[in-house]
Amino acid sequence: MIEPLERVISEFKKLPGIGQKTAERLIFHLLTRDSDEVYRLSEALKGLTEEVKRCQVCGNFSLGDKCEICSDPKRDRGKICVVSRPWDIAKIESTHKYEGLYHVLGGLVNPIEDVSPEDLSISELTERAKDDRVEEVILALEPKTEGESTSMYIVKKLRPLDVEVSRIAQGIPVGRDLEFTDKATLGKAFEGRRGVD
Amino acid sequence: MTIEKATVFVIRKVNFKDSDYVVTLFGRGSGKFAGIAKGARKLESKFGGVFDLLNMVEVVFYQSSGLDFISEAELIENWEGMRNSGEAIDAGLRSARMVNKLLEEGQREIKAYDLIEETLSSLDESQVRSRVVELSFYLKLFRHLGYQPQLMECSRCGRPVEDEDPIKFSPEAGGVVCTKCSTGNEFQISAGLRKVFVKLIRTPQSKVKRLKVTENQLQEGFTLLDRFGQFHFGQKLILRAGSSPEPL
Ligand SMILES: [Zn+2]
Ligand SMILES: [Zn+2]
Repeated sequence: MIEPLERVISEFKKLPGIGQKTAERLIFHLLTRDSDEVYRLSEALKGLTEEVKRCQVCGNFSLGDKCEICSDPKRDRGKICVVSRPWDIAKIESTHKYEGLYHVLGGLVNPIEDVSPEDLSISELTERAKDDRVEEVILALEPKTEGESTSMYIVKKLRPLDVEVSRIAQGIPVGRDLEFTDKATLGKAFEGRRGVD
Repeated sequence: MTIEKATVFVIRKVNFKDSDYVVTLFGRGSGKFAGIAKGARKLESKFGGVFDLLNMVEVVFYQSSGLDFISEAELIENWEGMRNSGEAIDAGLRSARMVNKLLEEGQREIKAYDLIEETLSSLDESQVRSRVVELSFYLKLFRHLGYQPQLMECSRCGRPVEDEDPIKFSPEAGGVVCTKCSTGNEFQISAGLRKVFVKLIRTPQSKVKRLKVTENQLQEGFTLLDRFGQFHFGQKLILRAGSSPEPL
């Protein structure tokens, strides 16, 4: 195969769930489209690295140093909702049941994948929680093994601070990803959150 | 195409494509193998949440090219008690990690299977010192795989090593070393730790929770097995104790 094709295929194959065959199919598809379309795709991809940043405060995707949520004066600064990944924020926002701020951990504690608490932004969270305005930290981590262990670790870290810690777990089926939980269930889980003692 | 049925532990789980899981399973007769659970991440999946890490599950699967294809799964045990303690979950996950690291795909180890079952059962009980159960798990797993550290006789000359304190220990030699054989490069362990190791090996996994082990001995024990494991398996096997959440 000629070099430019091989180069694109090898980049595509680095994406999750894409093997040689799928990569070839996608690229042959692109080759049949007009060049404008392919150009727009490449520009959009370029924008991904040049324009999309991570919010310095919460870790959400952002255009500037601070994301839309963190810079919105209408958001309730007394609440921080902790999620494992940035796309969980979009999921929770879609329920319209929450008006506070967020904190993205960057994953869950999982010894099997060599992810330890130090690999996640837990110390950044405890720093944020020290702010006098913060009254409640809501843990929106999945009720699966790694989520449980991560939640318990955070609860321990936050215990000395003057904040209430609650969990939304109730109502979300055990062992599931937040990503696949439907809006209504997630919304109810938010309203019915319970304090952790 | 042969359809098989096995009782297994979920020892690893990664997302695959949009809605599948690739799970690494460890069964008594089937050994360690990886399978694909199609659609398992979806809310309406027939698998429900059964593939949560450490769950004991009965699976029906058949071999296809590469990964086995899981067609049915039923939860047998999800260790409700263990899930009340961050420390216990963590010890369980670290034990599963060790099985993952040390066993090859297709490898059958009945004793290792029974050991992980006993370990998770122990962690499932309340008020258990998870770190003691975990240390004992590593020691016994090493032993089942043919790597038990030699504790009573010198690993160089075979003479009994007295209860002097400290005792010299060489991962390269495979265990304790007598004063005569010492090259000065061994590291030292307390006589207390040697006693603890002997007790842990002799005591069934379900009963190790009753043994008295001090915090210092635990630290020393993990450090020793870490060095021993790194030498014999060529990889970092034991995670730092500090990364473990304490029980609530
Ligand atoms: Zn932000
Ligand atoms: Zn000797």
